[in-house]
Amino acid sequence: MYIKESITNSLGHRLKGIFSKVEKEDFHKIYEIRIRTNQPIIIYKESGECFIRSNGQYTLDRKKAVIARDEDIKNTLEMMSNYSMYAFEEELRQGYITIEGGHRVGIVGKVIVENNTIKSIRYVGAMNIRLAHEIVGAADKIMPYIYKDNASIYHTLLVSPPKCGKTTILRDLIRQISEGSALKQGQTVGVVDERSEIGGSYMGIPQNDIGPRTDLLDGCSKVDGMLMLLRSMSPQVIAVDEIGKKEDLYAIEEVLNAGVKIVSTVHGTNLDDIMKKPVLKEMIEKEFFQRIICISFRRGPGTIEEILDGSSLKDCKVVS
Amino acid sequence: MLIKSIGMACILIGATTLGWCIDRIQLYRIEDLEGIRSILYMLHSEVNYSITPLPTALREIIDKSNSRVNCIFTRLLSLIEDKTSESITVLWEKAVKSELPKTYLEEEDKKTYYPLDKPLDTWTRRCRRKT
Repeated sequence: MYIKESITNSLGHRLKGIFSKVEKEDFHKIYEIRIRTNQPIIIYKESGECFIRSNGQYTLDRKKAVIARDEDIKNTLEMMSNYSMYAFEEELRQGYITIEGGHRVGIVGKVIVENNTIKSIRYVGAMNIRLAHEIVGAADKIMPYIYKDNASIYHTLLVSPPKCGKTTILRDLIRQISEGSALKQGQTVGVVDERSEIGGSYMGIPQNDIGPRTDLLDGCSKVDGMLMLLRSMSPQVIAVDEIGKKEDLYAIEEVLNAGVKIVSTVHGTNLDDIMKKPVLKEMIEKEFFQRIICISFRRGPGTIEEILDGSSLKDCKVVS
Repeated sequence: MLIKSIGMACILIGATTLGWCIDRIQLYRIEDLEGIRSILYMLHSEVNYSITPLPTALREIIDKSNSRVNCIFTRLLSLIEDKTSESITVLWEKAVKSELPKTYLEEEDKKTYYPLDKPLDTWTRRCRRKT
């Protein structure tokens, strides 16, 4: 499904009318659409942020921007949930829902707390639609560095700040490992997709191409998911997004002990930055990862800054 | 005398037929009301206990039920799948308006089941309390 189609189908009646006027190609350049009650709708693109006018044109003039109304958010939520908000209670508790096309919608509003735990969010005041861009070939540059031989890969860690494309690269990495090629054997990949970002699953079905040998656990916690996959699906590679908690250390250790390769991502700018985090420092010192790949936004999303060897912590090769 | 007898017979037959027809219509109307009630009960169960999304719940219920009023829910489902971005109240009104003539339900019966979003909202709140 085209990005435009999946986004406009998820918007309320008035917003659908406005966004339908935006060119189909323009949706590929949009990263985020932020809708706040009584505030102008803001669009984040590669070139920066802008507002949208009622004729679907972009503007930098706030006075000409479309102001989101309360009912716009209400109708949009109704559409996003397919008139079934009750079915998204668990996701709402986490503060986001995933819509058709794998786009993630962050939600804020009045949080209902019961016994010190978040029960749900009511009176949604704002939402952030993060458009999932599936870029086939995003991991092409790093593929030669992560293959140990034709049949196995290195334990790999992708390091990147938010919005630099680490999940997009991870997704393509999973697809390529799973698919294999004429020279490289395709491998069984188990993916724990805690926040439905990798597969972009909607109703349990991955919306993104993650390869023919990939088993995806959607909405499952990383620790439980990794152990479940180990026990049940006998993967050759396990992929997870955004590690960093203490529990992750234990689960990754289990994965490594089972002889399964791990591919993971973490928030950070470079090696020094992640070494400041105790859990990651321990993982790197114990040489959990054989390849550490740092990604930035310097030349647009997915710029490969350095590819380090996990034991020497020196450059494998700098891609300029 | 013969003409009188024929006239009487015509009146009797006519009145009987008319009465029979009205009776049938009322019986069918009751059947339709019961049908709509049972569908709403099933929908309530699907939403409340299985937390099935509305389109899936409607699809399952349409398959299970053989009531005449199925046409209203089939129409509602097709309107939902059209992704017109209109609210469920509007879609329900449209479905009822277009399909009501195909059933024996009367105008006053519409009020009983208007609007659908209210029961849905209530079910959602009950559901939230349970989870």
